Amino acid sequence: MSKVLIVDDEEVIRFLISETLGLNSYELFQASDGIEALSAAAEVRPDLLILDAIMPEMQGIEVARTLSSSENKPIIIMLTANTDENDRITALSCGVDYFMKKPFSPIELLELVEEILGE
Amino acid sequence: MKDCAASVSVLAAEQIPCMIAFLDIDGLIRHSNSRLLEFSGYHSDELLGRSITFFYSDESYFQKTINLWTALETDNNKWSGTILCKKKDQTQFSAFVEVSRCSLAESAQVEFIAIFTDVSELTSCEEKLKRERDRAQLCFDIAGVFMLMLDSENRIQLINRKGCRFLGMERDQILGLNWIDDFLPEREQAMADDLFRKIFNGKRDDTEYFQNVVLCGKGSIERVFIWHSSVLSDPEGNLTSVLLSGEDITEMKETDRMKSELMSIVSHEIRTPLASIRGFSELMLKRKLDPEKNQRYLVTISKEADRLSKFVDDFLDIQRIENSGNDIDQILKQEVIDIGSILNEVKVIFEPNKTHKLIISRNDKGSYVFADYDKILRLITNLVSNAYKYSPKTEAVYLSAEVTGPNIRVTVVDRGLGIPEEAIPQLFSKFYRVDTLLHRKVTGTGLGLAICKSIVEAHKGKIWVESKVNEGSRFIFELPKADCPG
Repeated sequence: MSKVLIVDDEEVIRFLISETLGLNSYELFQASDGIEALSAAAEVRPDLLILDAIMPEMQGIEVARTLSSSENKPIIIMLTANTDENDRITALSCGVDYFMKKPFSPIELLELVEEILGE
Repeated sequence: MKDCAASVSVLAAEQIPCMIAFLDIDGLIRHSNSRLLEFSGYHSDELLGRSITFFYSDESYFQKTINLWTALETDNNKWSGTILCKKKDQTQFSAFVEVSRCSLAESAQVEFIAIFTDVSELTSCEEKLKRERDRAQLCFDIAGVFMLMLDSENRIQLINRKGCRFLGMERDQILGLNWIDDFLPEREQAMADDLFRKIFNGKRDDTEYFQNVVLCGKGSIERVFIWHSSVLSDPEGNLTSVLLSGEDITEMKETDRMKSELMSIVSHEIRTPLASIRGFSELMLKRKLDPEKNQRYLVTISKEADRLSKFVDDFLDIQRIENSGNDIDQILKQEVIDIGSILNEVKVIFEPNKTHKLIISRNDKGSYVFADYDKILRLITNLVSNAYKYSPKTEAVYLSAEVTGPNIRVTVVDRGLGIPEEAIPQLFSKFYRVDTLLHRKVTGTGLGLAICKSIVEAHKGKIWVESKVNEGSRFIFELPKADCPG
């Protein structure tokens, strides 16, 4: 079973994403900030990371960059309201694989995850 | 003057556009040309045989004459100087006098030629120029902006008083120093170097402005300035210096930064509940879910809608109060009220909440305040609500009102988490939340206390807190007493 780590500082958003992904069968994990995310990733070794761009203390992009330098880097979907071309290019170079524009449609997110991991 | 050479000289003297006197070996005037006569107002015979000192306006100039003859003996047979002279009608004029030994024919009586040039206008121009320069310096110094003149090597040629004050140094310590190397932080130096080079190459439009950071107060503090520049050139058209006028925009930038930070917080607080409302609605609409899930999602949607609603109310409230300024009477509906009635209503509001016990006491009977009932109710409710949120269940929360001098003082005491000392100065700021693990576990937007503060201040009162970590907090506000009605 594929493992998905959900990283967002808002509890209700983590709830929304996990309920959405829960429609399929994935093993789900949550982290509420960058630091938690890094230690959870090390422990759990997720296949996929769903990552909020803006968080207090550590930004999403920093998490991506750190994970990129480790082995078994998970596939990363970044949730962001920012559509700036240059910022996206920077994110891509830091290890982000996919972008989902905020506010996101949970069904669209589910379909993207299905594409990546299967059902 | 009888000999030929002398006559030629006399004729020549008439042609030359100067005032000329021929002097004999004793320095006495043998002949004056008509220009000299016209200008000085003397007749030819009046000057004949007179010493050159006849023109001097002042006895003290006599000394100059002594120098004159000595100089002629030693110094190349030439002497020149500016002398204040007087005409026949006693009007003064400044003259530049050149005396030189001349050799005409042996028999000639002429030994020296004195040429007078009227420099009165020049002198008065110089004086006028000096006065203008002094005035310009005064304007320069009075200017409320930082003014600076740099040469092509970026050295400081001129600086005004305001500039000296910003830099925290005396003018003479500053002049000659390099603006870029000595007063700009390292990280800005390359850019500034490039910029000034462009300015001196004339490659910059004078109407453009630029911004940089300056090390002020002897390098102890950084301030941001916005500069206008103007290049100055010499008569040949070479750019010699650049004049800079700079305005301190440090505060403005700080305000801008705060505003944009506020914007992103507000944005986040509005978008998050909206995202969850939309997200759960979409899940419910596009997927067949069991009734238990539907119920749970509806509860979430409802809670998030409340959260959004409360946030928007709070934020608009605080903005309205803050922006009302002098029109505060438009916002507040003030009347003479008895605090007791508000306390009673607070009691009723918190009655159903069995998690904590609210104990109310009063020592203010017979006192009134002139205030907006709803706002004060809101204020006290916020404080009690905070006390509940941040203290463990079943702990008591104390609410009291008493008379203290000319004021009525209301205190809310809890035995909860308490507030760390370093958080207290910012506690009442918009969106500020205490940053400890336990505090962050409590939900809140950080607007509650900011609203309390703005309400109290709109009523011309004071609010403050006394707190100790793990022991609890006392929130206190005071409002001026009002006269009893009737």
